[in-house]
Amino acid sequence: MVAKLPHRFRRSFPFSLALVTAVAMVAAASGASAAPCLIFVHGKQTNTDTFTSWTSARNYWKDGSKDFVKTATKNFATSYYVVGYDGTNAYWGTQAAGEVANEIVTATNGGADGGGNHCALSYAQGGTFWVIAHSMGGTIMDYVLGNNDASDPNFNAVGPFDQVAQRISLAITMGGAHRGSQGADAVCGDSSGFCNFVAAFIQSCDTATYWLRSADDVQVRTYSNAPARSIYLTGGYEAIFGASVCLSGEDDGIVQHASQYACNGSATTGYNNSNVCGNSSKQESVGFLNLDVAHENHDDERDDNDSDTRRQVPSGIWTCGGSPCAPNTVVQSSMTSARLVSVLY
Amino acid sequence: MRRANRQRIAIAGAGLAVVLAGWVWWVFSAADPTTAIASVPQGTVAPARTEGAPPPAGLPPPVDALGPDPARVARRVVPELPPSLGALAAEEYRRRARFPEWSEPLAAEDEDPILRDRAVSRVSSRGRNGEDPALTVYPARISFEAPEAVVLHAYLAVNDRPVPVLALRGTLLTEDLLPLAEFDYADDGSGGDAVAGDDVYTATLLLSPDLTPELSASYLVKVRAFTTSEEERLAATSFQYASPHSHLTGRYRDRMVDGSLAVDAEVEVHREGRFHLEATLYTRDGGAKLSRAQTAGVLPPGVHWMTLPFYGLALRERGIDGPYLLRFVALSTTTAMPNAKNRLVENAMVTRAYPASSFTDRSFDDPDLLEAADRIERDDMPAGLDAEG
Repeated sequence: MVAKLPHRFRRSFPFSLALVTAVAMVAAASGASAAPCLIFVHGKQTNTDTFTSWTSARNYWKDGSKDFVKTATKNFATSYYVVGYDGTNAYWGTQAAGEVANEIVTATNGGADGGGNHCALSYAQGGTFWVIAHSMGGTIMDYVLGNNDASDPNFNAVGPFDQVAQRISLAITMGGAHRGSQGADAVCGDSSGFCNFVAAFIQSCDTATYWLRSADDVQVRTYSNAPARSIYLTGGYEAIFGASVCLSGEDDGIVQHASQYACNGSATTGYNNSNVCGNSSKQESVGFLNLDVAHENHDDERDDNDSDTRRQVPSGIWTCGGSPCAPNTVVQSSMTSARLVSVLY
Repeated sequence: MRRANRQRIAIAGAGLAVVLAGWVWWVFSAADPTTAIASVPQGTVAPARTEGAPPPAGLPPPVDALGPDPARVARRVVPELPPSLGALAAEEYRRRARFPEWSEPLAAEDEDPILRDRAVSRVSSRGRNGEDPALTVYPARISFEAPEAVVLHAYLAVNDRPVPVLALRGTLLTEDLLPLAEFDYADDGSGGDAVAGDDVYTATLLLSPDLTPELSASYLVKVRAFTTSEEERLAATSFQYASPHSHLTGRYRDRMVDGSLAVDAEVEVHREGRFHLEATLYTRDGGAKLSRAQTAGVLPPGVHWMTLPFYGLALRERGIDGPYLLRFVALSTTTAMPNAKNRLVENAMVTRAYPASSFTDRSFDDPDLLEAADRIERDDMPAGLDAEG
């Protein structure tokens, strides 16, 4: 015996399906023209390859066939631009913040990156732009967006920060070193032998590492104001065996929660997913806003390699039944940070 | 038809109806525009409960098996994203646009932004397997102004409680990791050490003139400690040593300008450069924060006034009449990085009495932020499902 739908369903279901399909097609079509252009800013490097070779900068976002850029741009349906800068430079340096700022302006002018990719619409044509930054890329964006006004301490110090702030709509950081990295502390303090992954990842106390420590005289907040555009924060909590011994509270193996979530107070305070700082307790009064946290390590955050659990954090973006989900609630069982970016626009 | 057969058919039919009802509910709940637009693919949605926690006792079976009972459907909470991150940003920009970038209101519960930026983070390092005691190192302040002494602290601790140390020695290095000097920490209650014998050690360094930078420098301090059981601990911190190119003279004046409070601070510039000045304004008794303002500019050598513009709307909305206290004032030389920070000035001056109602009630309407919001909203579309989902 074959079950049959009641007549009203037989009649209305195809219509409903057609309607939903039509709406989805319209939405997809409008998305192709209205989606923001994504501008990718990589993290710290142990050499200058990403500055001298665009392919190296592009590969930063890949792990084999896994590709953050591909996923975040919905299989390249959204236009994008990949920035490459000297990841061994101090975040405030000409070849770091300066290069990033200049490349963002190039992108918003409709210029192409080293791979020929360019934004679908320039700023003059009405385009919108999101910066997607990982690790030290987050620190650089803090510096650029926090020094965009003539009243800021380092206004346009090494690049057109005012134009960047004017032209981008927002930034998203994954594992951002907003308050430095205790991994960098360990390397520069000679205690990284206690956390081998950190030593392998960061390698040496070079200029970039020196300026990514937790000590406050090198912190970006010491040299910038609140960001002129909102910086949305996501991070990882997949500890790395050995490495996380050097880090306080939850971390992604390189950057502790206090830093990934731009918390005020001590950069080395230990937080977990339930008590990490909310939007009212950031390193600046405004401009830093939480998204969520993923069970990803520092590498996973930027290479789309680990589709894993995502959880709510205080002031996080996920809602449950119309209200903010409780901190540490599992909000997704399998979603990479790249995929998260793709569903935010 | 025999009764037993009729019963079997009835049971099968009822079961089928339940399954069908569940399926119909699932299809139509997914198409609900209030949830589907912002939801991620159904197949990836996890139940909204804390991972690792056992399911509550008596947890009902999955909704799909129960049919569209409204009471049960209500329990199925699907975590959702907002319709658009861009829309959230636009909303935030419209809120922020009420005040200029150079002056923000401070709520009573806010941390003072100047103190916040000068708070000291302590760096800690444990043993190879994360064992105690941990070595914690930090400077007394983030920045020292030449030629004042540099004060550094260090201690070993178990559960944050300092414990005895066998030896504690520091090395001072340049940013390029060139060693400059070695020194011992002491716990004798002298030279910046607050309490003798409390197991919190202190080193006080007087840097020689050749280590005084032209503007500012970061110095690294590597610390090596040995526990009483002769285990080694290593950690590092750093501090800024600065020779600012200007100083506050201590003269201030205040006035009303276009419905806002302008506070002038006199600075003496020793060498041409760019200077940044910021301050926080409190109620007369220092009990409540009101506003922060900043300014910056290039100045030649000589004596100049720098004007801190406290946007009037923040004061009007708080409804507290003056006089006001200029609580913290921070001057920096920002000609180059790292900027040189002067010592913080506290309780710098008290303004004249201004009625709160005399300040402007106009929103600043920051054109950059409003344009950013407009542009996002013109461009915006609902986020969520794409071709894959």
